[in-house]
Amino acid sequence: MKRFILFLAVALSAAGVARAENAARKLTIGTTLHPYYSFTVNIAGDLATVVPLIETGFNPHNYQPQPADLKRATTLDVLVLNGVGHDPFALEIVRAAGVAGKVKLISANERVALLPISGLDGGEKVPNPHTFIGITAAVQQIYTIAEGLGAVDPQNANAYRANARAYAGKLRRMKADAMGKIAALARLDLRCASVHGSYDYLLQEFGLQIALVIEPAAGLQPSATGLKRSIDAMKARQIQVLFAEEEFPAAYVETIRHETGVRTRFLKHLTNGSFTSDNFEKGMRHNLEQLTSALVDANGS
Amino acid sequence: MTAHAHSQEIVPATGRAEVRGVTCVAVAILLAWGGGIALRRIKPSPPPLASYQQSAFATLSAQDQGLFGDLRAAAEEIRALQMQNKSWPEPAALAAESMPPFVEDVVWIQRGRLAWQRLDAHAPTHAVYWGRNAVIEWALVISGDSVAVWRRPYKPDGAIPQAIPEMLVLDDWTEFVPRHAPSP
Repeated sequence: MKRFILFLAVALSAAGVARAENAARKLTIGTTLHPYYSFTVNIAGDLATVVPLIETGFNPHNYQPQPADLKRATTLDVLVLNGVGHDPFALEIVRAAGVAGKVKLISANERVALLPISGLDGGEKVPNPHTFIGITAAVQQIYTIAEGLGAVDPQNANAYRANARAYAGKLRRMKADAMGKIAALARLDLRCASVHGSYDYLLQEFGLQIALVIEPAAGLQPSATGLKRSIDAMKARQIQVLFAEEEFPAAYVETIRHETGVRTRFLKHLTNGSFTSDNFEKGMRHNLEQLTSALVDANGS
Repeated sequence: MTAHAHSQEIVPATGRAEVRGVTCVAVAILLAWGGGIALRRIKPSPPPLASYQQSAFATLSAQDQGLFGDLRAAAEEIRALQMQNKSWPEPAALAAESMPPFVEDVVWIQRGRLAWQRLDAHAPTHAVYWGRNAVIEWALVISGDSVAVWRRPYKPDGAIPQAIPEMLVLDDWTEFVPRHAPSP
């Protein structure tokens, strides 16, 4: 009997320790692009460890996996990804690291209604993967990520959902502030071009659409002939503003401005700089300011 | 002692068996390679649409795609609110949280000032949000985990939309689904 009681005590104690270890063990969540890092940190808070899958300073459009990425992938429980064409390198890393099926993948865009890239020549509609440059699409992804994390870590599902709701509210208020700046405008009309086909979700929220994209493909600079064609098209379509990016060569932007007299605004692609919890908010605040000021300039205050 | 004469046919070493083996292996490799290439080229096609469904990606105007995306994003928040408060939020409460398409901002004006109301007030498992103006009607139907967005031209004598697809179809509604072309 004594032996049995001793056995029972040891077994219960071991079970208790195991439970405590499970409860204390935080998920390690990898993220691909900068916005997904910001989203996930804000959802997870201190309930999980969030790490970028790749290091800073790389262009995600043509990223080639590095050995350090594979090592990092082996430490992950979960990987949050765009999943609709902006981070195919992530799946390559997961496969190469031999953790396919072990790491739970959360595709943030699983339920997002993708928009076609506007302003492209040619009739075929191409889905735009830049769903992270916009508030409403970001909010939808934030809820999807929270739900995915809750499925992996049910103990904290309510906390993830509550954090997602708080963060979504914060982002919506940021957009409401921007809307307030253009509330007095008689109309929302802006004929615009962009150097990169990435701003459809942001502009859509303001009822706007890109009429022309300068880059022939993501990350590719236009040829002299291509630039001439774009300038002619901008003149023909009476484009009022060009949304440029700081990474796009200034000489091209200056040439376009000189030839067309178009106003320019600089938007952020949100996939540069440090991985921080407020990277997305800072970038979007900048983008909203640039967009609302372009609208006010074009439509009068 | 008797000497027995033996005769044995010696087959010349033509290597025929080896050639056959190598050929078989080569054919197998070619078939596997070709099959692999063929399979890689097959893009998974989305399931066919029902007669009452249309692809939002392929058919909606840019303006309507914006509204469609807003409704699907709002559905996430509406469900979160329903789980939190155990009741479906009213459009006025969603507007107070600056949630499109319910918030009455400049884009709401540009998109035709849709007036929103919530139906099925007593149904705990589903909700219908109905928005309309003199031209068009939209319905967001949330039922359990499923979210559906429907649209029809304004129908003055139309029935109030229900959360039952068959009834919506009979009353001239079209469901829009977020189907898009496969990624290039």
